Amino acid sequence: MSDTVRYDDRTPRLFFLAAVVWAVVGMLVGTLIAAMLFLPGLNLAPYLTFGRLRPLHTNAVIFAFVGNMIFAGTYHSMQRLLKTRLFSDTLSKIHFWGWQLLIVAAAVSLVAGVTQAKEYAELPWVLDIVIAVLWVIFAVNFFGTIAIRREKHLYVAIWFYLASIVAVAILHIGNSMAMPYSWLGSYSAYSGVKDALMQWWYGHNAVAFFLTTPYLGLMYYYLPKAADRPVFSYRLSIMHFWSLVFVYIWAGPHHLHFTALPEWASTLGMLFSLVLWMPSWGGMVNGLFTLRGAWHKLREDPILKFMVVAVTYYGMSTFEGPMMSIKSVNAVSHYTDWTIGHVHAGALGWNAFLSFGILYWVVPRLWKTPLYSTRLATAHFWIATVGLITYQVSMWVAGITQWGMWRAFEPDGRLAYPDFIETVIRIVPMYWVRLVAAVLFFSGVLLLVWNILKTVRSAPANFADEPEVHAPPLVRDLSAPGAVTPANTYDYAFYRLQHVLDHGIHRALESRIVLFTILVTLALSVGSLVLAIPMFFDRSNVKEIASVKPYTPLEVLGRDIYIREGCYNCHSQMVRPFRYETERYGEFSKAGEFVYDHPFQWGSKRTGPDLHRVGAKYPSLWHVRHMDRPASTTPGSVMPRYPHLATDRFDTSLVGAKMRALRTVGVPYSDGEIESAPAAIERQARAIAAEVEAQQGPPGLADKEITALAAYLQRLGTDIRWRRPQPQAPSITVPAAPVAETVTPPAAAAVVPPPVAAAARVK
Amino acid sequence: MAEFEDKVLHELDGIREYDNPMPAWLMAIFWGSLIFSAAYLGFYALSFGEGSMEAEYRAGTQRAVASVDAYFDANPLVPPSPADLLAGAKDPAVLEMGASRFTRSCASCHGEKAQGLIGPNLTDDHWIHGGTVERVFQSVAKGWPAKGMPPWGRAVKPEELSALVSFVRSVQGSNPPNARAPEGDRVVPEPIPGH
Repeated sequence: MSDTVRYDDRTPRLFFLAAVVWAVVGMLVGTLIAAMLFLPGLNLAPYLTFGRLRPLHTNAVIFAFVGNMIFAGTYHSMQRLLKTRLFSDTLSKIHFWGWQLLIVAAAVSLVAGVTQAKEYAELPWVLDIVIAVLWVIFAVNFFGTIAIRREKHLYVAIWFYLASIVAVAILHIGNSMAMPYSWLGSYSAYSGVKDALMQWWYGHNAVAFFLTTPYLGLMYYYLPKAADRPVFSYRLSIMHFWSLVFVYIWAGPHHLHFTALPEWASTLGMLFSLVLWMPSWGGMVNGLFTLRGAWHKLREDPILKFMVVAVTYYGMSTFEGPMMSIKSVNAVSHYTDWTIGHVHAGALGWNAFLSFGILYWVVPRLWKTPLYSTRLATAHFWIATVGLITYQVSMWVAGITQWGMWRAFEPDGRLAYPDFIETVIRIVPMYWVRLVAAVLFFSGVLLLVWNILKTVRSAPANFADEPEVHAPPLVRDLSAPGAVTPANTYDYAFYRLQHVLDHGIHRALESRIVLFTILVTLALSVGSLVLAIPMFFDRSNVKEIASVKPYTPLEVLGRDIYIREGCYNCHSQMVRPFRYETERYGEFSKAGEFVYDHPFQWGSKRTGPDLHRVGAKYPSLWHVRHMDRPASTTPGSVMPRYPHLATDRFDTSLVGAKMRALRTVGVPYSDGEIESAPAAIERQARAIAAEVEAQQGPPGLADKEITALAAYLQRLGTDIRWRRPQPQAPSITVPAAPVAETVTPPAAAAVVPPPVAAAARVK
Repeated sequence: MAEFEDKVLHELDGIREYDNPMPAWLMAIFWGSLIFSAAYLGFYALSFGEGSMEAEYRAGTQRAVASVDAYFDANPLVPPSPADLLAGAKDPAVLEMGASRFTRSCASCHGEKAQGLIGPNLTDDHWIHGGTVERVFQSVAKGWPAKGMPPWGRAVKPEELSALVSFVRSVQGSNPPNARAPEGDRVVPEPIPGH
C-alpha cells in the first residue's frame, strides 16, 4: 500500500454548490409563503397555495439545503480526519445525483398535492424508499471510509456524523411505515394517537439528528479550523455527545402536551427536554470557549462572525426549547407563531449561519483561490443578523398576542374575541414585519451566491487537482494497543489495561467502530422503546369509544382532499382541555376519537381555527361558500380560495383500493362495505348536494370534490355525544308584545361540563 | 480565563484538543435539571395517569361558571325599549358598533350586506319570526337554535346587542345585490323618528 492518499474533493465541491442552490430555492419559497400566509390573493393557482408550498419550503430547507451541507461537510472533513480517500467514487456519484433527483421529484410531488400529510415526512411512499436507499448508500460510503482509515482514533466530529446516520435511518423507517393504495398514495400504518407519537418522535428527532448533531460535527471541524484555536475540552465532548444521543430521543412528546396523548408520555417528554439543556449547552460551550484567545479576529473576519452567532443562537434555541417544553409554557406557545419563531431561530440562526460561515471558509480552499470579497461577506453577515432578530421578535410578539387573545374572557363569561378572525387580523402587522425579515435574510443569501460565484469563476485551472497527503496505512502491530490479533499473554493483557487506564476508556472506544455503533444504537433505542412499547401494547392508553365508527367512503375521499390541500398546515384538529378552547370549539378531543385516522391530522399551528368540532357546526352551504371564497363567510379571512373544488369531480376509481389499504392497517371495513362503496358515495353525495340546493346554494354538486370535503368536515368530531357550549339564552319579557316563544325556555345547552349556565335574571 | 490549564491532549489534521474540566455552572445546570425532573416525577406520580389533566379542567370550569353566575346576579340583561332601538337606527356611533358586530358575528350566515346567504335576507320587508325591532331583538337574544340561529344574548355585550338591532333596522330597504328571496310574512318597517 502506498504511503500517500489523494482526497476526493470533487464530491464535497458538488454537494457544497448544491447546498447553495437549494438554499436559494428553499428560502425563496419561504419568503413567498411568508407573504401568502396573510395576503391570500397571492395563492395564484391550485398547486401554488400555502398548504402545498409550506411543505415544499420545510423539505427544501431541511433536506435539500441542510442535507447537502451535511453530505458536503461530512465528505470533506472525514477524509482529512481519517487521512483517507472516500470509500467509493461510484457511491459518492450515486449519492450526489440521486439526492438531487430526489429533491426535484419531491418538489414536483408536493406541488402536485401528493403528500402523506405528516410534517417533514410528507413525501410519497415511493420517495420514502428512495430516501432509505440513498441513506444506506451514504452509510456504506461513510462506514467504508472509516474502515479504510489511516488514523486510528475517531475525532468527535465523526462521532456526531455516525450517530446522525444511525438515528436518521431508524427515525425515517420507523415513521414512514405506510400501506400503499396506489403508486403515489398510502395511509400511515399507525392510527391517531400512535401516529401522533411516532410522528413527533420522528419530527423532534429530525431536528435533533438532522439539524443538530450533524451540524455539531461540522462545528467541531470547521470552527477550530477557522479560528485556528484548540478545541476547549475533550471530556466535555464525550459528556455532551453521549448525553445528547441518549436524552434527545425521549423528548418528542413535548410536541403533544395537553393533547389526547397519555399524560405519562407527555411528562416524560417534558422532563427529558429539560435534561437536554446541559447536553445542548455543552456543544455551545465547547464552541464558544474554543474561541478563547481568538476574539480579536472577530472584528475582521466575517467567517468567525457567522460561526459565533450560529453557536450563540444554538445556545439560545436550546434554552428556549426546554423552556417551551414545560407544560404550562407550552400551553402558551403551542399552535402559535412563537413555535414558528423558535424553529427559525434554530434553522436560520444555527443551521444557516453555520452553513454561511463554513461556505465562506471552504469555497476558497476547495477552489484554491481567495474569497472574491470579504466586505460583501461582512455585509451579508449584518443583513442576515438584522433579518434573523427581526424574524424572531415578530414571531414572539405574534405568538404571545395570539395566545392572549385566544384565552381572553369577559367578566360575564364570554370570550373576549369569539371570532377567530379577530385574532388573525390583529397580528397581520407582525406578518408584515416577518416578511421584511424574510426579504432581508433572502437578500443576504443572494450576496452569498454572488460572492461564491465570483470566487469559483476566479479559480485557477488546476483547482480540481486532488490534494495528496502523506499518511501511511495503520500498522497492525501485535504489541500495539487495539491490535487485531489477540495475544494471549498476561503481559499483553496487562499492557492493554494499562493503556486504557492511561488514556481513558473512551479513547479505546474511539477505535472500536462496531462497538461504538452498537452503543449509539442502544442509546437511541432506550427512549424510543420506553415511549413506543406501552403505546402499542397497553390498550388503556387509547380508551375505546364504542360510538366512534370508520369514515364512510365519501368521507374517505373528502379526507384525502383535506390531506392533498395540506389543510393541516394551518388548522389543528385537537381541542385541548382548556376552558378557552372548549368555549370556542367544543368538547376537548379524546384519544378514542382518532382510532380510524390514518394519518392523524392534529396539526401543530393554528393560522386558522381548530377543526375537530367543526362537524355539524354550519350548514353544508356554509362550507360550499367558504371554500369558494373564504372572505364571503369570514370577512378578512386570509385563507386561500378553492373555487376548483366546486367544479372538479371527485375521483372514485381508487376507493376500493383505499378502503382495502385502510382495512390492512386496522379499519374494520367489511367486504360488503367495500363492494357497495360507489353506491354509498352516490347516496351520501346526493343528500349533501340536495341540502345545499335547498339552502339556495348552487345546484349540481353531487359529484364534485366540495361535496366529499364537506362530508368529511361535517363528520369531524361528531361521533361522540357532546353539545356545543352555546351561551344560554336569557329570557326576556317584553310587556308590549308578548310572544309565545318567550315563555318556552330554549333547549338549555347541557354541555358536559355545563357552560355558562347562570340562570337568566329577568328584569 | 486563567482557571483552565489548556493542556493539549490530541492533535488531528491540525486540530488540537484541550482536556479542560467542564465548567461548574454547566454541571450545576445538569444536576439541577436531573434533580428537578426526579422531584417532579415523584410529585405527580401520586396522581399519575389519565384523568388528572381532565380533573384540573373540570375544576377550573366550575370556578369560572360560579364567577359568571355572580356576574349575572349583579348585571341582569335589561331589554331596551323599541323607541331606543329605533332612535339608534340613525345614531352614527350606534350604527358603527352594530355594523362592526354584524360583520363579525352575523355576516357569515346573513351575508356581508345582510342580503341573506345561509340565513334569511334582513334587508327586505319579509320576516319569518316577526319584524318589529323588539321581535328582532328577541330573535337575536334568544336565537332559533332548531334552525341554526344561535342565541346571542349572552355571547354579545348588551349594548352591542341593541346596536345590532338598530343596525339591522337601518339597512332595511337597502336592496343589496344578490339578495336572497323574501321569506316569511310581510311586516311594514317601523318608522325611525326624525327620519
